[in-house]
Amino acid sequence: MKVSTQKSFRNLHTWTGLLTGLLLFIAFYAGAISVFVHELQQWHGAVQQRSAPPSLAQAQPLIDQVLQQHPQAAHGFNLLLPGAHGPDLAVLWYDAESGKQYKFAADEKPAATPQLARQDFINLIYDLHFTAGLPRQTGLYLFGIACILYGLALLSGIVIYAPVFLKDLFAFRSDQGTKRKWLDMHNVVGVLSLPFHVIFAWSGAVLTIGFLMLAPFQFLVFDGKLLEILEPDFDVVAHVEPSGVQAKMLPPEQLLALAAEHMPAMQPEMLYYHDADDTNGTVTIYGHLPSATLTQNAAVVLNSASGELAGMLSPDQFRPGTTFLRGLQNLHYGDFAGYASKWLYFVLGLAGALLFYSGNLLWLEVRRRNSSAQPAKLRVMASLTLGVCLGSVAGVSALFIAGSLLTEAWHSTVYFSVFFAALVWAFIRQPAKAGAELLYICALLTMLVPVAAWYGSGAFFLTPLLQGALLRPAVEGTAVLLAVLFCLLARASQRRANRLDNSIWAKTA
Amino acid sequence: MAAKHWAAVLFGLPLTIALIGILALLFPGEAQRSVLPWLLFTFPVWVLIMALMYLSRSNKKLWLLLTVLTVFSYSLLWLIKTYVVAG
Repeated sequence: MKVSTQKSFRNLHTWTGLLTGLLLFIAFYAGAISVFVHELQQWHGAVQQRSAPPSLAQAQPLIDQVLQQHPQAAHGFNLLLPGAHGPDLAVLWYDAESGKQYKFAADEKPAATPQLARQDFINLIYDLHFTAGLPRQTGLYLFGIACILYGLALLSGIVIYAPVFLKDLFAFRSDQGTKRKWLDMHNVVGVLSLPFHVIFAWSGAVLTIGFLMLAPFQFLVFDGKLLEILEPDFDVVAHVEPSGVQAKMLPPEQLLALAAEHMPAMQPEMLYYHDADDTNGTVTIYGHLPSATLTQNAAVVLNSASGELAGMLSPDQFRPGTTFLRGLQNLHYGDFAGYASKWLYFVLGLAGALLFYSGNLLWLEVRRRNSSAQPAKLRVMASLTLGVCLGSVAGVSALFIAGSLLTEAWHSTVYFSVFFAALVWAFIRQPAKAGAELLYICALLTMLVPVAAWYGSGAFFLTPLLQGALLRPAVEGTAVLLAVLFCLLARASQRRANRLDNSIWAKTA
Repeated sequence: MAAKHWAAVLFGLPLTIALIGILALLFPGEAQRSVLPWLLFTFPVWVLIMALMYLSRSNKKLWLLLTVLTVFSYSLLWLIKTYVVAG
């Protein structure tokens, strides 16, 4: 390959990497944790002293109350069943007028008080994964663009690295200076987890801006007929207009019993009501269906008044496009092979975060050596890298502490206070010092996660092990391991800072 | 380099849409079975088309080629829509 071509791709890799590295760091770190979103919801239930679990009999009165207060909610709302999505029985309603999603939980006193949905620490981390803390739509579209640039970064990375691929893959030259060490680490993580990165970039783009991307095809290629062609891929049953005649809906117990008759193997998780107070209203019961394919979800659609079957969808009936789309989505979520794939994704997610962090560190280390000009630009980049990356890590650990000790209303305040405090710290301190200090803060906060859970629940995290319960030992044990990892990284950057050379990662006297 | 970046930003997506559009329209069989799989290839094809531009050694030639390709692909798309799909 020509030297000039190599140079073009190196330039492309640098720019796409710099533009997306920070966003992708947050996405990977929060994403690695969100792989276990359902387990964490159970963990949250375990470390909080809760009243008795809600019963299904409370569901219909709750729905009636919500519809009485907000008649417009009848157009569409979800009933979340306790189980995989946490211990709550709740109605979720997206108010199109205010653009906010509300949650009405069954055990709230007074009953059916709306609270903003997705404000608890688990959903905040989940949303960080694709918004980085920005407003939802902005964040989502920004991540869509980041996925495209990430694809370019991967491809250009391969082109740069291909010529030395076999020679250098497992070389780990710790004796040839820090730069060489970071580069070897960056390459080995990048190459070994490449298939997963390709999947993440592709499915990430589909999940964030996939729907938006239908627009140019709709107008330029299919002259407005595209959505008609795709409708069966997105809806279980074709949309039916409301009749305008009121009808009483069947209670959830009865609807779930009917669904179980049609699809006995499905474990229901959520019910979606559409025009539920109308004779043409439908209820879609979504659930988990064990299946040998990548997709393990199924749905049963019933008429909400008569209980008559309107449609069913299980993975074996998917059309090719649906199989492809759902397959990509599930490869993104990583829950296709139980705990094996979940832990793999957790480790890959953390490794990915390290890849982006090391990419930025590397760029800064190299730049300083080559030229003494423009140190301000490098200084800003160094502070941003430390503040954003380590700020989000510290913020996430603080969220876990808040989850054990504080009510939901406090959770987002806790995250943003810690995040911005870290960012400010990174800007006012010398980068070489701030790096180690912030890593120690991350280690400390992460170590406090099991302590806070101990205080909140009254039990040490290894105690449940005696009864054979693995959830708390697994969650809090992982926190301890991560705390140790952050501590080691902090010591390494401290040692790096003490080796005085011309780099931005070395202390200046 | 800026010339290549701008070429990738400006021509990448239109070329991808034309290419995927032509393939989806011409692919035999029922549209409801084949269109979505083609559309899902939009993102990797987009990235690949943009990356190919960085192989070019002359910016002038690159911009000329991209302009010709865009005009050609949209003309072809129009022809397919008018004569193959409609007829």
